[in-house]
Amino acid sequence: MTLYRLDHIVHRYDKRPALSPALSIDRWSVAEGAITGLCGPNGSGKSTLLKLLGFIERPSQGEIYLQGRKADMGMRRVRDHVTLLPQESYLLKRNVYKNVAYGLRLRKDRSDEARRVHQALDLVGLAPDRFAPRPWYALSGGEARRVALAARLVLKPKVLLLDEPTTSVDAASAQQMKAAALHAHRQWGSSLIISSHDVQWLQDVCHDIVYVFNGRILGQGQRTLLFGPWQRMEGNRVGRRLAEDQIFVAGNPPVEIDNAVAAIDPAHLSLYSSDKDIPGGNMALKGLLTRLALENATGRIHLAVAVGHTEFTASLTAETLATENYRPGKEIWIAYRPEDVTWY
Amino acid sequence: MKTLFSIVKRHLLWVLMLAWLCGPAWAAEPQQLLMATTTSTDNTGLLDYLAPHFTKATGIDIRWTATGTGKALALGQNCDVDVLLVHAPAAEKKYVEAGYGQNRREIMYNDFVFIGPTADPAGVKGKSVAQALEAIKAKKAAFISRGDNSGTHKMELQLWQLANLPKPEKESWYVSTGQGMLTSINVAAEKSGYILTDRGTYIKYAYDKGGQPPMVVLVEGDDVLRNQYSVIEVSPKNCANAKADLARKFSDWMADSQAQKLIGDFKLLGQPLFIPNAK
Amino acid sequence: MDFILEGLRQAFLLLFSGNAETYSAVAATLAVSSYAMAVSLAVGIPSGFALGHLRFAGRRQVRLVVDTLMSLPTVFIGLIVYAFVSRQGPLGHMGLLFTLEGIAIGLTILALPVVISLSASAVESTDANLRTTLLSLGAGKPQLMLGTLWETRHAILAGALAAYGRVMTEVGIAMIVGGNIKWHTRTITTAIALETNKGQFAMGIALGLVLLLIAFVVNGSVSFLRKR
Repeated sequence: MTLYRLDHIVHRYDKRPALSPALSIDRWSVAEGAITGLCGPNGSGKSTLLKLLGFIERPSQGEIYLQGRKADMGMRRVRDHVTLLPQESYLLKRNVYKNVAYGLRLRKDRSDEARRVHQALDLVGLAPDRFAPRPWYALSGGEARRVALAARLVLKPKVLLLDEPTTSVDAASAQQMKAAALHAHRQWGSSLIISSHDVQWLQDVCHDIVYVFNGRILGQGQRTLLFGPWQRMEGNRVGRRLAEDQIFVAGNPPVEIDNAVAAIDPAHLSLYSSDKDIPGGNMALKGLLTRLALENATGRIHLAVAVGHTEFTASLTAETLATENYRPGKEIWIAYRPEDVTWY
Repeated sequence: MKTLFSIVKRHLLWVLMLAWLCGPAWAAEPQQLLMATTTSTDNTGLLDYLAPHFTKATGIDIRWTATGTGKALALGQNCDVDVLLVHAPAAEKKYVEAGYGQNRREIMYNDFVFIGPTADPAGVKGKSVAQALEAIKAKKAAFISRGDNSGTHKMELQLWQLANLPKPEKESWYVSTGQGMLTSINVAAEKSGYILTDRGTYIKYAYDKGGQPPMVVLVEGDDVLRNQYSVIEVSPKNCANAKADLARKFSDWMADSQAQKLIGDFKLLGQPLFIPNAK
Repeated sequence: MDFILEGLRQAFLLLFSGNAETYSAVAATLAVSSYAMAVSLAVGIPSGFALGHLRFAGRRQVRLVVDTLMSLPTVFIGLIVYAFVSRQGPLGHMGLLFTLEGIAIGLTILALPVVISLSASAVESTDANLRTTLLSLGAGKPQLMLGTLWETRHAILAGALAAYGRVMTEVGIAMIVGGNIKWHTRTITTAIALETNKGQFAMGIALGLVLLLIAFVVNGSVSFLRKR
């Protein structure tokens, strides 16, 4: 089942057409019941995307379908089931209890209110007895953020959108918030869409990770992205110097290469202990294996290989990994075919 | 929207309740006469003293707004009041001739006096009005003017003219206050200057200072200094809604022997403030 | 200097001896200021809120006009109202001149721009995240407006108090439109002006202190309500 389908979405904050839009997504869909991660640099459009998905803002062009039906801000089914924790959460000028109960009261759903509010506070690790009566101004940054999350969790939303939930909170608060979000997913089947710089966490929990850059979605999965400056080379190829004697060569570049972004899928990267084994037609780069990580959803192992300052992500099955004896700290060759590089 | 509406409704109710509460006080009473008068009759307390007697005799509730003679005449011209009690004979006559008022009736007078600091720096004591003004001008002694187009101000300007002196409005020693009589006297006292005042207000001033005022009468008794107060009814020809009948009752009562005696009996420090002279 | 101490003594005397003239002026002041404030708040808060909350063509121009009207000199308002309610004026037949109602109309004109402008500013200066938060918790349009209004209540209250301060202390309108008629339209401020004209400075100061006391009671009760 698809939860969201985005169709020819363009969103501009500035009406001048000369400027590139804040967000431009031709087609994209999100699976229902999944945890989806959004990563990408600051200003790439993650927050804008989440606001559109949360129906806080209406896209300048295009349509958003929710569970197969066109949806728009203000619709009952949207307001009742989709909730966003914005990047800078705002607490209403009332006490913690009323902040958490606000959404329930909007829905005129006051049965068993106290117990539900207390449960939500428990979920984010705030003792209800101590915190419920506190006024909004008597909270630390991490506590306020957790109250804001509790105000969303109490609604048991079908869709929970989290915009940088753990930035600028202390480690303990971050831990509590991560656990609470997972609880929502496991207990109530909430679909989660999370933007975060905590790639490790996203890799741990997400079924799917999307890279957002310059207002566009650069494919799904664990792609390695390479940014310019690009230099033209022979035979319709371009290159990017990564380190001494290590040049990333890519084929089929776009006409305009100044701001082009190259992506290479883990499926197209193969690993070798020695460059002698690399078959012809492949480009090879020597790097250092820095990290191994398990992708929960698939059971595959992600390998991070650093070449200069660029980190490539490759993936292997656990069996292959065991036979090859790859371990962090090992020098390793990565190989790919230049024509497998895709461009954005 | 329902909740928003209920809030508006609640406010509205509040307003209506308030309007209802205040309503009775604002409803016009039938026998009500509105008068514009000068600050001197009000500030001396003469009207507070006369009003209850008038109401008792006629059953008419009289209300007054105290202002300068200039504005009092304007209020009458705009039909905002029914009757005037003012003291600027020349302007009053023009006013009646123009058809704004009728039945101008002289009621009482007091006189104007020049007062100044006891030290009398320009040495005007005992002089005639013309000599005194010349002396003040020659010495450039501070002179305080009401400057508010009131009866007193009009009298003062007339006196400069009678003394064949130009209006000293731009002179540095000439201070125009634009304020009421007592305020202006206080300004004169602060500046050790001379000022023209009606005697009634001066007596009140002396009384307030406990009978030991820093300002004393220096020039008095000149014929030109008489300050005549008159009642003028607002003309119903100009103002259809003016209560001409009530105004006439007031005018008659003021000229009647009972009121004339009351005016003569109104004293401060043993001195009468106004001398009745209705014919 | 003496008359300041004397004024203090007389203020107590006026209040506790139940001086009828003083209480008449207090009642007049309370009546006109309550009426003016009730109308200004009932009209001004919704309009100010709309001005700050909604985006429509010409909003900035309306805002500029309202802000300018905040600087209306009270004597000027008094003159304009006089021109309208004078028996020769367009509203002359209503008999509003020299009535508390007339003063209340003038005071409403004085207070309304203050309430509108400060309410609009209060709404404009709310955190942009407030809208996101309310919407994300499921607020519909009316709930968004009510929620925003409630969140800005402190700032709007401050605006209302500022307007109340102007209304209570106003003298030009009360003098010109009300005529300072004893027992009827004499407010505390016009009484002060009169006592000053009469040279009764101590009495003027006493009345000023009475006005200050009323302002204190009003502000005190608002601050008490705000705490709750």
